[in-house]
Amino acid sequence: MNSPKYWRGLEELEQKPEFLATMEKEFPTDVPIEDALSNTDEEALSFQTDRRNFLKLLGFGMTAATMAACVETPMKHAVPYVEKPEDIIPGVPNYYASTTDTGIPVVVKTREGRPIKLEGNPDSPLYKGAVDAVGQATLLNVYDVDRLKGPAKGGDDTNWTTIDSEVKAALASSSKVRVVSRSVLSPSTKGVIDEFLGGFADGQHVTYDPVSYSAIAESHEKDFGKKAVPSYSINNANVILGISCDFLGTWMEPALFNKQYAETRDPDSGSMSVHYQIESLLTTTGSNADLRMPVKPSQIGAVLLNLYNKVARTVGQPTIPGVPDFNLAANVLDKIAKDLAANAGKAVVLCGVNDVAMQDLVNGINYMIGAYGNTVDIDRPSYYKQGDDKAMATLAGELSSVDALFFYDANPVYDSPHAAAFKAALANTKLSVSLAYKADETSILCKYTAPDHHYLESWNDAMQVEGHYTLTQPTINPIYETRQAQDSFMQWGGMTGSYSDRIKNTWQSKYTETEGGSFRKFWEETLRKGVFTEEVTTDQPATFVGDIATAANSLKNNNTGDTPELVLYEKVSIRDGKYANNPWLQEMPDPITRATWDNYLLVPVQYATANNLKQNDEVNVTVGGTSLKLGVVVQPGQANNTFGIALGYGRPNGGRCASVIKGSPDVYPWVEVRDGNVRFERAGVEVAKTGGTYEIASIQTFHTLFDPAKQESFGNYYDRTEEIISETSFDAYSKNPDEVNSHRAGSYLNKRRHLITLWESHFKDKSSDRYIRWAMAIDLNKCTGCGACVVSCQAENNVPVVGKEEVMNRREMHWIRIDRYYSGSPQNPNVVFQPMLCQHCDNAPCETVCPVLATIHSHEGLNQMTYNRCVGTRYCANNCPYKVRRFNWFNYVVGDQFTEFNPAHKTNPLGYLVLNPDVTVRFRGVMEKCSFCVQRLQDGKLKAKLRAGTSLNSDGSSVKPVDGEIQTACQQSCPTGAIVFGDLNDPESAVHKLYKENQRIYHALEEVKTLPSVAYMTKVRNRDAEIVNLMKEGYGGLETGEKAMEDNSWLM
Amino acid sequence: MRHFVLRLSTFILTLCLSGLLGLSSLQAQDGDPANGESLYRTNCATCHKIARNLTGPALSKVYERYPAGEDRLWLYEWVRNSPGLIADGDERAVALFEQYNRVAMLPFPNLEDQDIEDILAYVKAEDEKEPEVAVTPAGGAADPLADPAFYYALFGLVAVLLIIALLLVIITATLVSAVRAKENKEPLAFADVSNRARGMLKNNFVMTTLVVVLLVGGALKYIEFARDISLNQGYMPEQPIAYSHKLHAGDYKIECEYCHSGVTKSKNAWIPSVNVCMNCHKTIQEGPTTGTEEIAKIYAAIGFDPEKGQYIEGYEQKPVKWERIHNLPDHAYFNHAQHVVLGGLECQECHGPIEEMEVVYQYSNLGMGWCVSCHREEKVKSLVKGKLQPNSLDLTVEDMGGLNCARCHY
Repeated sequence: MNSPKYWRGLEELEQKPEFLATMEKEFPTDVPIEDALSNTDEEALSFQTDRRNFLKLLGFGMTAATMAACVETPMKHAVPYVEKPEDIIPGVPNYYASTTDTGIPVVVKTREGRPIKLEGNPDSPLYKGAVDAVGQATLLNVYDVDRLKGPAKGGDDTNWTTIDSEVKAALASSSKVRVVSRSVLSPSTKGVIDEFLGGFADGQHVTYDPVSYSAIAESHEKDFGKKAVPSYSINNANVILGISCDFLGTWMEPALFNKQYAETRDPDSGSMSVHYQIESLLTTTGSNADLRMPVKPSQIGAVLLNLYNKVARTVGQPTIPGVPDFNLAANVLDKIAKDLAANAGKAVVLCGVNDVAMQDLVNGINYMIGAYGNTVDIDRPSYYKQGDDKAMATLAGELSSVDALFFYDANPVYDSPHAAAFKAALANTKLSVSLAYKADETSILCKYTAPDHHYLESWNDAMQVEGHYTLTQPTINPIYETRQAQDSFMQWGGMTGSYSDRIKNTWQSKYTETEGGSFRKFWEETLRKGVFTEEVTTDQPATFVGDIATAANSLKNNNTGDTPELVLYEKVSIRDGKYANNPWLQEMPDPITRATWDNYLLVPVQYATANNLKQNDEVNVTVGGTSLKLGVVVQPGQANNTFGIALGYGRPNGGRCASVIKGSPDVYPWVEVRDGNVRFERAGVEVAKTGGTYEIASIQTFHTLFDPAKQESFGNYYDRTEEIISETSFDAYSKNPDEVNSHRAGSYLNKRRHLITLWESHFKDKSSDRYIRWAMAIDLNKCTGCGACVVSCQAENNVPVVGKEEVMNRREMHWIRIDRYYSGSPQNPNVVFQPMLCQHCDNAPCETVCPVLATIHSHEGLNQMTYNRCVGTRYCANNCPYKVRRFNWFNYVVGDQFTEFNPAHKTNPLGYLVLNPDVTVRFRGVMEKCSFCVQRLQDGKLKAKLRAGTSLNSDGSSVKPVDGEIQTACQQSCPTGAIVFGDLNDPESAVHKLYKENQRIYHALEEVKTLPSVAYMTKVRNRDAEIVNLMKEGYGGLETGEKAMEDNSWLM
Repeated sequence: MRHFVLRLSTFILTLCLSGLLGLSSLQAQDGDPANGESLYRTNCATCHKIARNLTGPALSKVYERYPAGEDRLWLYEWVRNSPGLIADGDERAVALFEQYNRVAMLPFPNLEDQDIEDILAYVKAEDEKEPEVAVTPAGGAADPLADPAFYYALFGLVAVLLIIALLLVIITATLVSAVRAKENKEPLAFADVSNRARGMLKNNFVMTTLVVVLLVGGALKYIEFARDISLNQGYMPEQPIAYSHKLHAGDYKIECEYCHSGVTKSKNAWIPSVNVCMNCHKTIQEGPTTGTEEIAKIYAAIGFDPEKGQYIEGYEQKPVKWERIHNLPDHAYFNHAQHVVLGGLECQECHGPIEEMEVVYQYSNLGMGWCVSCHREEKVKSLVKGKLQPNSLDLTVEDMGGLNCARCHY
């Protein structure tokens, strides 16, 4: 098989000598030890360690070490509870079902009353345990050092009594009252706000979303008479078309869509969905598509009009007259229209552009292909995004006449296009109150701040999709003098009781309608499970009543040709900037650019080549008369003449972590209101080099698995990439599954007998039934690169956050990284994501070089890393072919340079609370790496034994946990279920079956004979012969059709 | 001799007689205080103390308050069925009920008249005893090494030995000189002695041996010393409350698990929370060694008023800051439940004779060598007919992977 050639960055593709020189070394620069011992450069040159000096230092060192060790061990206290709560067993975690403030049902793991980890709630019939990186990271916000510590008036601390009496007094003379919030998922909260506002002559609740979905609701009002965002069931689709819609990364609820999407993408089930993506920037979703076409934002309208007509012609519906002809390269739209029409009721079109006319067309297409009622459901709407751009614009216009303004979970001064209006008005508004739990741009301008609890301290409920309810319950006592926002509204609105009782009352009514038995039982059971589903029945499915022809008029002349355009997009980690103060998210590498910490200008490859722009060049970007300075990231796969800048950066009052990077500007001022809707695409953008550079902390070519500098000894550089990545097409796989990896030696189970090894005893022990043999399989086909595992691992294993400087020094500490490989043309490459973690090799190269035996093999196949033995030679990292070992260059807990972001830092004792008490916090000078979450393995084994009451069964076999009982953190958090983990010695285990039977199983870098315990499963793209032919014809994306790489050899 | 036997037999006879007399005099009393004591402990002690009021009134002089006759009969009735009396509206009963916070006394229908008399006899006997004086707690087992006097003594001993050695040398030298003088040889000069010593120093064999001995000995000593650094075996800090394991676990034989209940569930055995102490100390307000002083510290922590026998409302509780004795380093994981439930270990196997410790100290060194030696030798136990027994295959913990680094270090 002709394997494609993979590259991870343009540097690798171009193979310039400077780049190759940096790749020779594990770290870009040598550690200047001699410098550290001298003061001047001259001294540094003359400094030499002679025998006498060496002996002196040795003697001094030994004495000093001895003396230091003789210091009396400090006394430690053991402070038990005075009254131990009945349900807390110190040392044993408790789990509570709850819901994140992003709306994801989760299970919160607490230890001695403090939450330390979130996992998706598997009991939710909607989410089925899915969670994303942002949802995972919201845990850290509760320990945010920048949280508001109590109520304040005009910036000065005050108490709740003062606030309450003054707010009530001010409200008494108010008639025009507005509550501004983001989308509120909680029915009870909405009830409280409505009741509060009902007490005024003119009270109104204005909802907005910084990244707006308003057009979807408006178009559904026009087309179906129901102003709502429908719910989507991508899992029912055979054909998926995404148009500028990053539903696996940022759009609406990526955790849920990842789960649904993965269900359709299992090649072993015999069928697989086809995923087309038409978009301007390369997104996570686009990189998972079977066929992806880059187009400029201004061409999306033309794409939709033509697609509508093509589908209409196929299904025999009237077409829109007067549509300018437009097609993508090789007439791809024809193929898409054909597939959509042929899969009526089994197809879906998703569009992320906030334009009513475009959404009308999307609704029209979805209606024609029978999506409504199958993959799209307007009768059971979703509530993630209820923002109303027009209501927000109205409010911005009438701010001067508003008596009282309340901001609940809203920060319009930063993230609304009407920021200027709010900023100006807040100085004069009679009463302005912010209920934010953390100081933000809006709260500092408000007269009063009445800080809300963090959601982990609150009671709440949520309805994500009609009929699907979840509950939020407090898992930690309020840390500060805060009060739940709903309680504040109830207090000010003169309502009686507490909000928690109110929720219970809301649910009491629900219960009498639906269930038998006692309410108490129902409530406790619902609270335990955290979810409750209600059957939603509709008498009549929605019918399309919209007027497509009129709607289409505004789109007919949108195509602006080649003029440069700008897309303001959301990053998978930072999203709209609400959680910009979360260091886990800041340091999470972007799945596509692999950059951390920074905002930057995404420049398409063609433009960069034509204008001589390189990575890290500094440019001036001008839009509508204002300019910003940004660093450049040259991004393959981006539509030509289209630029991208992320939202959510440059927050002036975002907190100390959000503002630690000075060069990342805020681009919200460039967000524009067009035709009443908030738009994130701008025309008229100018990019000019400043001549300077701005270095982006991108890790994309760090830790390279193949060593290009050594290509002479390993043959052609590209030849080794196929040892790492394996991919095939669905056709080829279903016809000849055996062929997929036939050139490889096969899985561990089938292969290891043929090898000569120094460590024979490893295999004898590990094949013994007495032991477990841990192994993992990662399905490259299911991995969408979302990064949930990265954050999850960081939370579970106390991985420090090192900051931009140290990331640039290649010293980032993540134990799992998601390598992103490109293949094919830089204009529109294919993408493969590969989670890379310690492979726990049986012939581990790291183990043979450790001089102090700090890393050795366990009987269970683990490559153990013993911190207290490690002396920090770093030989192991040097010898690791997978580059997964991480060295602690600093003591991150005390280093001053980590103050702003490392969660567990001496300056923020609260941050220590997020640490997993079962995992050591590593000290400076030791190596660390993935342990397969050994703390979970040990805990799981012990649980199984305690359950059985013995370690050994009566027949002498050892008691083992049930397959699937133990999950690693990355596995548990993976929304697509790409990771399978278990005991290879158990023939019934899922991982054993995969290793034994699945033809897609292979190991990375098999040729170096490391015998890894991690296997990968071949990526399968669902490209039929038609698609492959289309791609050969023209794959640049545009009609004009830049041909891809000349020989097409990268095609499947 | 005959005289002595006579005297002895007389003595024994007298002893028997006086015993009999004593016995008869006891029988002559109304009740048997010994039986009374046991009845009192099982039935009354939860609510009544002799010297002062608890939930119920103090029992002191109760035999006088209800003298034999009608009153005593009423008392029998009250003890056997006080709720009944109250319900019937008996004046005396209702008054008592009102007086003691409307807490009715439990009925004891199975107590016979004689039983009640026995209890009264016990109360009387207690009344007639001298009031007890609280004894100051006996000092813990003193560590001789901790006493500076020990070192002074050692130093003195060495000094004395050195002086003796010097004297011996002088005496020998004098004697040798005297002998030489008698033999008409030259008297011993200082130079001879120093020459001989210098000769010794120049002897390669002697010097090499000396250096090797010193180096090897020093190194061994250093390793031995270094190994014990931060192991803290024998560490016996003073605790904020002079809690005595000897009293609770030793004398009263309270199960370890009653307080350290985490030991079968969690990695921590845990120090009991104060509310566990209060299970007993709500009523036991005075201890045999420290009286009320130490128990008062528990009350101060949780906010309990021993006079009223009630918790103080709105009290700001003060957690007890115990000194931690067993400090494993952060990178070492240890699980109590695993060792106690699955390994079937007794607490004493690691913690030593806890039930004899007035003040607890670290008994084992808790070093890794100590852990590993046990993991190498100990046979894994398996459950046979509901009982943990060493497994039939003679598997040690090591055979189960118990020496893997990641078993304890992660």
